[in-house]
Amino acid sequence: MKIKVSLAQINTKLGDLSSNIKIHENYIKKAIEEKSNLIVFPELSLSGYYLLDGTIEVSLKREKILEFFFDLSQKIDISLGFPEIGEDYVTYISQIYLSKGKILHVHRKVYPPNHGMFEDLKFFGKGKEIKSFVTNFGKFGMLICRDFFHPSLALLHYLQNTELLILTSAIPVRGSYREEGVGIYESTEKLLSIYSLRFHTFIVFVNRVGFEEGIPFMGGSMVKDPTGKTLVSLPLIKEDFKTIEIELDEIKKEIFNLPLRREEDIDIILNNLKEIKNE
Amino acid sequence: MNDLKLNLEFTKDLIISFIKEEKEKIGLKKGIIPLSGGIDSTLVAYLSTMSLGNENVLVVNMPYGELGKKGTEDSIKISQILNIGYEIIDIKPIIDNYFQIEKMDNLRKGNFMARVRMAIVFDKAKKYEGFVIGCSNKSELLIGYSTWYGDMAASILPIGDLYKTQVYQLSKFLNIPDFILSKVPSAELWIGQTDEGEIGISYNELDKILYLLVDKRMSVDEVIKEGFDIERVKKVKKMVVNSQFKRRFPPIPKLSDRTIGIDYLYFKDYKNYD
Repeated sequence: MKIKVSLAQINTKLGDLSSNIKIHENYIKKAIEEKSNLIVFPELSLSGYYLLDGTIEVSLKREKILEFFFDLSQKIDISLGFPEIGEDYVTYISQIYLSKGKILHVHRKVYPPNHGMFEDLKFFGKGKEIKSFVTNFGKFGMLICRDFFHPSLALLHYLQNTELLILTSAIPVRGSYREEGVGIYESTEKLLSIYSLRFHTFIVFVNRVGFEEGIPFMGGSMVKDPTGKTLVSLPLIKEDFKTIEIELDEIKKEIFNLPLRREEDIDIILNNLKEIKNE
Repeated sequence: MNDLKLNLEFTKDLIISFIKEEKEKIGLKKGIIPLSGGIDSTLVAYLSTMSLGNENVLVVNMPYGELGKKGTEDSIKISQILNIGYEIIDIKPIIDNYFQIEKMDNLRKGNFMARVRMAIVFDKAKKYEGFVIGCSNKSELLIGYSTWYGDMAASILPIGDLYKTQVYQLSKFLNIPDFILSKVPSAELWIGQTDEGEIGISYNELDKILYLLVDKRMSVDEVIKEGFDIERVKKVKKMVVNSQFKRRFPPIPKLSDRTIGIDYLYFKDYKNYD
């Protein structure tokens, strides 16, 4: 099955929902023009990242997101980030997946970081579920930023046979006291290479750009194939948009060549996890 | 030991993007820079010009009579190279007026001059509908070698995460002329004053010690074990701790449920009017 995916490496206006909705609409229309099947926006793309006390002011029910993008989602699948107010009135960092006027899935960030320059957990609750979902193109999964720095969550998608992993983030630039490259970009790229290669999955990684109070977001979005190869990469710290067609069936060959999934024994993992927990 | 080398192309691009985006967020066109003719403010003038365009940068050079003559000459040369607007304001009459009624030591004089320069540059920003682009670097911000609400006061500090030795690296990369690069860093508070003489340590050594203390989170003992002089490491640590107040919002005694600086928490970029 082929799918055309658009990566929207955007900047957002912090707390300004109506301006951000317009930014989204413009890029979605551009993706539709390019006959794309799916457009992916970064973490908290609708609101900006460092919401702090503004979190309560801009958080929305997931149905509201569907309402905003109902018409456009008839023409293209849309994955975007927003601050969600849950049925429990807890706020979450969420990534929604819209398709044909329906909410196919919402992933709530499981590991909101809380150290150094990160304060997610001070304002947001923790998601608890890692679930893949079936789209018109295959089995997809979503993880948000710190989530995918935890290999355990990527492993859960692997065990669910996720074919395309949508990884969205607002990763800030750091590790730049070096003569070449950018530390955080290189470590992210290595991580995604290994996930895609060993978990036999396509990865669509979309990270934002722009500054919030001097904190620069890295950009550097990319698509990885199940051999770890980068199919497309977007520039660092610059707004950009790219569309690429991928063939999901390539996973089949990779799994046949190196049948890790066939060898995998979920009971071994489960039993050992239980033992580790009880030790 | 990290030699504090930078990915210069990336650093340049990032700072240029930062200045541009800040301009858009602030909503004002012109960047106003207090240009002393030293390496920090010259680098800021170069980066700002690359970011905003020469027509949107104005530099203000504010000598104290003859003491700043060389700085003024160099500032004019830099302005001509960059083809940016400049104004020269001799602060001697303003300063001397106050000095006549108030006897001061060198430190108070230096602080007073820095605050008068700040008042002038903010006034120019208002006049030209601009914002103030400050020139503090990471070395001086960390040890507090700058005047609180004086040269530290600015709308943005584009080189605030670059150590002094990194300021030199980036300046060389941008082909800033030798007559700036070869100058001995000085706040020009009195004849013959140099930064390194006053701080009591070379920037080269200071930056390495700061990098280990701050970026690498090393203790004083750990830094000493790396081969640095005990007294100098202790001195640097003391300067960093004692200047902490300059890097923070002034404390407010909490009474309400939401107190500014404590639990009234917004980035300045946050814009929600609903």
